[in-house]
Formats: sequence, structure tokens, C-alpha cells
Amino acid sequence: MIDEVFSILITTLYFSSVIILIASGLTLIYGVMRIINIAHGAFYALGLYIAYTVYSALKAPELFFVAVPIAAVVVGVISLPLYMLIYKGVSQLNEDFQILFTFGLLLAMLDMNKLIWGLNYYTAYEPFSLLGYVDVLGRQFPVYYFYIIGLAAAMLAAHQAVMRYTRLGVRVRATASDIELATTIGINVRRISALTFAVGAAMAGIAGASMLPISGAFPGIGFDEMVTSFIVVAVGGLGSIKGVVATALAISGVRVIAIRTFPELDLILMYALIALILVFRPYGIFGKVGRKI
Amino acid sequence: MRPAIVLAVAMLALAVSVPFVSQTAMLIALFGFIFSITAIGYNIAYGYGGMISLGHAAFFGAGAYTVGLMNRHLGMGELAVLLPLSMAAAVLVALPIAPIAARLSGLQLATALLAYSMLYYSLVLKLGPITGGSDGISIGGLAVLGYEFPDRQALGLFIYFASLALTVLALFLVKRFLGTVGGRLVLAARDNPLRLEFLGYVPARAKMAAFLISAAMCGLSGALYASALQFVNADLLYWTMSGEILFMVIFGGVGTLLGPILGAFVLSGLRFYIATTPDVGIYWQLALGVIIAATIYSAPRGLIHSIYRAATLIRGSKGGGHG
Repeated sequence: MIDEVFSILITTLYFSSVIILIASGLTLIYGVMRIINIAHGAFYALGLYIAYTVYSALKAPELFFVAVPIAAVVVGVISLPLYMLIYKGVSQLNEDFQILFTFGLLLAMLDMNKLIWGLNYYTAYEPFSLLGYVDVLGRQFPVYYFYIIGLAAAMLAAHQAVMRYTRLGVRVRATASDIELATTIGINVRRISALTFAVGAAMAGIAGASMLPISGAFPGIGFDEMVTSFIVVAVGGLGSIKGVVATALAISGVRVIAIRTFPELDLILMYALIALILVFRPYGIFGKVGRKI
Repeated sequence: MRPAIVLAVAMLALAVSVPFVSQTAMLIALFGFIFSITAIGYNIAYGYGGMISLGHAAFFGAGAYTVGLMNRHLGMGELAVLLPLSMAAAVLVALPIAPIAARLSGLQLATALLAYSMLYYSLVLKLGPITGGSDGISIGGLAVLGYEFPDRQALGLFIYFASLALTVLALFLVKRFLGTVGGRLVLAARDNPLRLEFLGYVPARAKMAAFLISAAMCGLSGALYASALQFVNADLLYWTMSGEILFMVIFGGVGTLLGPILGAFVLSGLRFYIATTPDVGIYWQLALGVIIAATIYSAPRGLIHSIYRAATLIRGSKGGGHG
């Protein structure tokens, strides 16, 4: 019994860590810039592909864990000119147009991966098998799961630390809460916004790169991840990292339990739960009613 | 008014003659008219009712799968039964979420409907033994009023004229509807729900009605789409389909009568061009994505407004466009 509980717990943590890694970047960008970036999934896919390219150039399974940060930095760097050229205008658009516009960007950016990497299905299982398995109460778990969980935990901790205890965090929070007031007290709002955007994109890049050994890289990846993280951000309450964590844990838990009991119904139950939450709390679990989020 | 009537008659004559002129033009126009019904339906919810949705793929898919499932499990191929049934099915799917659609707006609504539609997507995907899962369902033996179509050609021709007639009918009904008390209530519920409440009306009820009508039309067009292709699969319910529907309406002109038709034909033409041009097919999303981005930057009010403006410039300053 206790081993079953542990098993559910660990798998839930693993599932939700992947979602947290993607969705927290999305909610961070929304919180600071008020941009609903549906194209965020493209940064995830980009991270996957770049990690593959770097990894295959390094030719050693251990060095995969070097490829991950490299991919994240590259994604962050690529996102900056995109932000300067395209996204500055997006924040001026109304919500409906933002949704359609960034949806168009998602389609275009995901197809651009085909131009660069073709239609192949790239796999890289070696880092996964390299870490092997660990025994928890008589059950086997891939060590790679714990790497993903640790990554998400470290990222959340770093986010909290920066936001709470550094001058930069204060500036970011000031920009998020009132952009005009932040400008008048001398904060370089543009630089903060650009930085937030790049960091958010890099977070999706880390998530993508880290999932390479599990999912592989192939055309069309990014759509499912996008819809899940978009929904998680909305259900959690736009701009709320706390909400992302709570929602990711909740829907992953439902999904893991469903997989064990009614494997056919896992996605169905997950979306039913989401729809139900949004019916009763349309502004999200931690969203503020009335505030135009 | 007179030039408008002349133009309308000319367009109708053109539409009727298309199948006898060019096979290619007919295929583009066939899906153009099918999507027109989708887009006109979506526009009722979004353009007139102010309810943005990223979930209309569920209603489109409900119509398509009504044809697919009835055909597969009951051997039913009678379009005179299937088409009305598909509208009913779409309304049934929309019914549980309609009160929510009437209450929420903006991003909250778009997300709620997105999640709701993904529920049906995963249902179709996971209930493989019934729905065919990701392989989909092939449809055969379609008939209308007992007449069984001998070949694809005859079926295509029938769907073409049915979609054309239904598009014209939909246009006519929408125009009439906007003049009635019900239609005015929908517009008022979009623009000033509070004031409407003070006047003793229930804005949510008007919005719900608009939402259900919108779903019914999407269901109908989904059924036509499935019949024309003689095939359905789960992609029809995926969220990107909802994005394409939203694109048609914004591209053509939100809240205008003719804009959605324009958007539908552009989408259909683009799909056809991409699908039939070698080496380009895999970049379909790239093309669509760039067009979406360019539209929002250059003509956010829709192509129809640009056309109206050009027309008024040509005619001189008298008279503006009508919506």
C-alpha cells in the first residue's frame, strides 16, 4: 500500500515538474508584460531540437547535461530579437488579437523547425539509460524522473530567491504591479521586460531540452505541451506561479491515478477537472476576480 | 442598393457556374462554402455576441462525427437525416457549457472553451473501438432522400450546391435575425449588458441563444465537411482547428456579414494551394502563421473593411460600407 502511494506521488511529481517548467515561464511573461504568449510552446520545441544538435555534436551521453544549459541559453538569446521585433507590439493589442497573433506565431515557429531539422524523428535515449534506475520501497523508478523533479524544484527556488531577495526581483515586481509607476521611479521597464521574456523563453528551453531523452524531437511537438501549459496558467490564475504549481500538481495527480485505474480515461478526466475548475473559478484558483487579468 | 443587388446576382451566377467551369475552382469553392457556414456561425458567437472561443472545433467535430458514427455503426447514409441530426448533436455538446459562455468573456472564456473542447478531442482519441481513434472513420454509402450517389463526382456536386444554398440561407437569416428583437438583444448584451439588465432583460439568455445557434451552424458545416471528404478523424477536434476558425473570422472581418465568407474562401484556397503544391505541403502552418500575423498588423479590422474602404474611394465620398 505505502509503496503504491509513493509510486503515485513520484510519478505525479514528475508529470507536474514538466508542466511547471514550461508554464512558469509563460505565467512569468504574462505577469510582467501582460502578453498571452501562445507561441511559448515553440520555445519548448526549439529547446528540444537545439539540445539534440548540441548533444549529437558532443557525442557522449554524460555531456547531455552540458547540452541542456547550452540549449536554454541559446533559446533565451534567440527570443531577444523576437521580443524586440515582434512582441513589443503585441502588448499593445487587445486580448483577442493577442491570442490569434501568437497562435499564428506558434504555427509559423513550429514549422520553421522543419526547415532547419527536416521531418526526421530524433531520439536520444542514452542519457536516460545512463542514469539508470533507483529502488524506492521495492519499486523501480528512473533516476531521470528525479533529475526533472529536481530541476523544477531548483527553478522554483531560484525564482523565489531572485524575486524576494534581490534588487532585480524588486524591479521585476514593480514592473509587474504598475508599469507606469515603475517607469516614473526610474526603473528601465524595457530592459526588465526584455530580460523577463528571455528568461521565460529559456525556462521553456530547459524543459524542452530535458525532455529530449524521453520524448525525442519530431515535427509537431510543442502543440500538446502548449495547450496543457496555457490551460494550467489560466486555471492557476494568470501571472501566478503559485497557481501554476498547484494546478500542475492537481491535474497530474488526477492523471496518474486515472492511468492506474481507468487508463483509457486519463486525458478525459484531466480535461473534465480543468473545465470544472474554470466553471466555478473562471479567474483561476489564485486569480483575482474583478482585476482584468 | 441597386448596385449591391446586381453584384449579389452576379456572384450567385458565378457560384452556380463554377462546378461546370473548373474542377479546381469547384474544390476550393466547395470547402469555401462549407467553411463559410462555420465562420458565419462562429461570427454569431464572437462578432455579434462578443464571446471569443477557442473551442468551436468541438461543435464542428460533433457534426462531423455524427455523420461518421451513424455511418459506421448504423450504416446510416441519408443526408436528409444526418444533417439536421448533426446540428442537434452540436447543440447537445454546446448545451452544458453555454451558460458559462454567456457569463465569461475574454481570455477566461477562450480558455474554458479550449479545455472543454479538448475533453471531446481526448474522448474521440481514447474511445478507439467506437470512434476509430486517431485513424478516424471512412464514410460510405451516402444518399439524399433515397437517392444514392453513384460516385464521388455526384456527391461532391450535391454537397457543393447544398453548401452554397445553406450559406446564402445563413446570410439571409443572420441579416434578418439582427433586425429582430432577439438579434438586437444579442448585440446589446455584447455592448452593454448592465444597461440591458436595468431594462429588465436577461443578457445571459440572449448570449446563450447566440452561442447555441453558433454551435448548430458549426455542427452543420462539420457534417458537410465529413460528407465531402467521406472521412473524419480526431484532428477536426484539436484546438488548432478552433484557431483556424477564429482566423477566418478575424481575417475577413469580425461582426460583419460578408467578412466570414471572405475568410473562409481564403482559408480554403490556401489549404488547396498548399496541399497540391509539391514540397510546400509540409509548410502549411508556416504560411498560415505568417498570414495571421500579417493580418493583425496590417488589417486588424478585417479584409472586408479594406475592400469597403477601397470601394468608397473609387466611388467618391458618397456612402460608406455596410456591416
